[in-house]
Amino acid sequence: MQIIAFVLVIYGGFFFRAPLGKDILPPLEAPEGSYSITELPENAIAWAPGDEPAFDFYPPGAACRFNPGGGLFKACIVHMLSENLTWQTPIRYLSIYILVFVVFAFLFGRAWCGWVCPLGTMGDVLNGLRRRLHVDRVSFSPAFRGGLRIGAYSILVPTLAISWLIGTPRYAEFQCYWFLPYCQICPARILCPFFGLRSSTLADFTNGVTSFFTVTSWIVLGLFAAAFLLGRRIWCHLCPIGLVNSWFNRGSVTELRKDTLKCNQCGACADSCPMGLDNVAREKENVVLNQPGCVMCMRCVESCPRDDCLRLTFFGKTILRSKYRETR
Amino acid sequence: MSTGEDGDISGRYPLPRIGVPGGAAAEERELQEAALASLGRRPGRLPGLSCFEDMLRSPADALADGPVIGVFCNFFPEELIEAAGGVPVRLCTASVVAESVSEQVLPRDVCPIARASFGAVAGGLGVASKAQAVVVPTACDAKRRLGEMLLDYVPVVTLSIPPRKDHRSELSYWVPELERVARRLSRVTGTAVTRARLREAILHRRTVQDAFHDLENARRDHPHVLAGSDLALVVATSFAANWEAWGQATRRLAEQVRAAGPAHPQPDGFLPLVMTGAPILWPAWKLYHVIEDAGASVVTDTLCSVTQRLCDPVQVDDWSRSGMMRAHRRGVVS
Repeated sequence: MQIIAFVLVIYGGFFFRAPLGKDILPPLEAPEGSYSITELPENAIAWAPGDEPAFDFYPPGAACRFNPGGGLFKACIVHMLSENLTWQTPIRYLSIYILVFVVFAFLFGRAWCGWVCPLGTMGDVLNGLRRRLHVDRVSFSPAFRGGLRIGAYSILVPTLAISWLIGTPRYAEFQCYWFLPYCQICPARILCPFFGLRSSTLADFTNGVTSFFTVTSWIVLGLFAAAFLLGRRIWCHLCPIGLVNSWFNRGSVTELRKDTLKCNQCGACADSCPMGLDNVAREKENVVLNQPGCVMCMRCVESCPRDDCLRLTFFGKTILRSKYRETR
Repeated sequence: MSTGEDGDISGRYPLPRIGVPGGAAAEERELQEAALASLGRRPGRLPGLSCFEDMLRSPADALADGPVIGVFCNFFPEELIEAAGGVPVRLCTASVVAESVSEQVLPRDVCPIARASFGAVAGGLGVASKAQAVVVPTACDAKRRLGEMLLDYVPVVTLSIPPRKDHRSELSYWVPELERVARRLSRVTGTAVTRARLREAILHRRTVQDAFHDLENARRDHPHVLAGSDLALVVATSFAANWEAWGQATRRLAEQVRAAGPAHPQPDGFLPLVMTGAPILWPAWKLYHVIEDAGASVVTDTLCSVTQRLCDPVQVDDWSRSGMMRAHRRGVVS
């Protein structure tokens, strides 16, 4: 399912743009009279150009704007917020896009991260490589994971602050270098273009700012690969896109439910959780276990040997349940 | 006085050799036959139970080839012994003969299971006489003392059980402890516990657990067809059994339960009970007899000697060596 989602998200523009013919939602552009510098310098912060997406939606999950040929969706939520803070887009233009995002987020929670995000899928391939080599993973403490969540806020808040600042007349001159600041270092900006046989700008030492972003993007890419290779989905605790999605995990109509009376705390779910969460095993009272960190990959449901102890429900209807699986 | 090695517990004072009365083995057989005969008199017993009774009569004959390693307590993952090339045999017993033998050394106020288990090993009774070493998890104070006292009679490998199962730091202790025990077992058997051997042992054990789950599922639908005493008998045979033969016999029994279920409707006044508490070990089936003679039946339990023995599989997420070791935490560390 992740592979199908990956192909759709990355190559969705090829599959759906032509049949649809026109945009369902008009693309968001810099409003007339905004302070946006829409023509970026050729050699400033360059990347592989993104073609038009099939749907001008901003879904939860790292659907990258810089997909070659255009992806299924327009971009991720951090891209949308950053871009429109810089453009100073009035909220009335944004409301429908935000509404679509919120509806998607409430429908599926962080299942977007677990099943649709192309970065997560690429990371899971790296994780699969480690498993094939029978190398043990690196475990991280709950405190470390909590620290990463603070780190995600530390990325998101400055990103949005910078985006807003460079949209003001006083700092508009910095737009050419600081536009979409998180995209400058996001692994998706570098990796997604490769799947369309295009290369993004990997090195730009024109000035101090571009040099900073170049070096930082290399470091982030290295950390991304190492995190998925050794620590399963530890990266997803740091991802600012995942952070925004996590706000909607509690209250989502997609729920992970536990029958606490059927659980004997064998720990199989905790061992299999790629986010390293153990609350599913430890929970003794609450029925709904939608934690902010849970990406709803359902590995816990799959690994639980107790019949009907764990369930994935959608609008209260069970769509996946745990059961004892015979070996052969 | 013997001392443990490499992290194992040490003995506290020297213990004398234990003499076993000449008729002990015969008395043991006699008591066992009486217990089996008592079960056999119950009406409507399934024919598939007879092969389990045969396994109980001669457990040593059914064992696979290899050095026999005795195990006390359900907390120890027997897969480790198989991975080390050994044959795991659970030695927990409630034999009154073994218990009387142990009284040459132990006072009467010691836990009866620990006392009987000690007597069986120290006196070399039954299948315990074949054990080249025993593994004693420190699950309770009696087990810890048992390990200390058995040191003078047989090599003892101690497995330290984390005191709190729900404390996050315990897992970082549990895996190295299992690795240490694996090294100790390798020294006893002469076969190293490799990743491949451990994987094979886990999958092998899973086939046995699959068979048990099959029986449990059949019994869930028809709880009155197989009495609680008979289920306990089936599990008791798994203490010292050839796992392939045991698994096949259990599958056959599950089929018989399914086949007999519709033909034998649940009797009026059937009283299903859940049994919890201390383990009930063969041949002390007195409590089952009391319950079933009164018209009730134990349909499930939380006993380490019955359902808990095989219900939790080793659920491996990561087939690396540490991943497999970590997966051996069922019920010990959550």
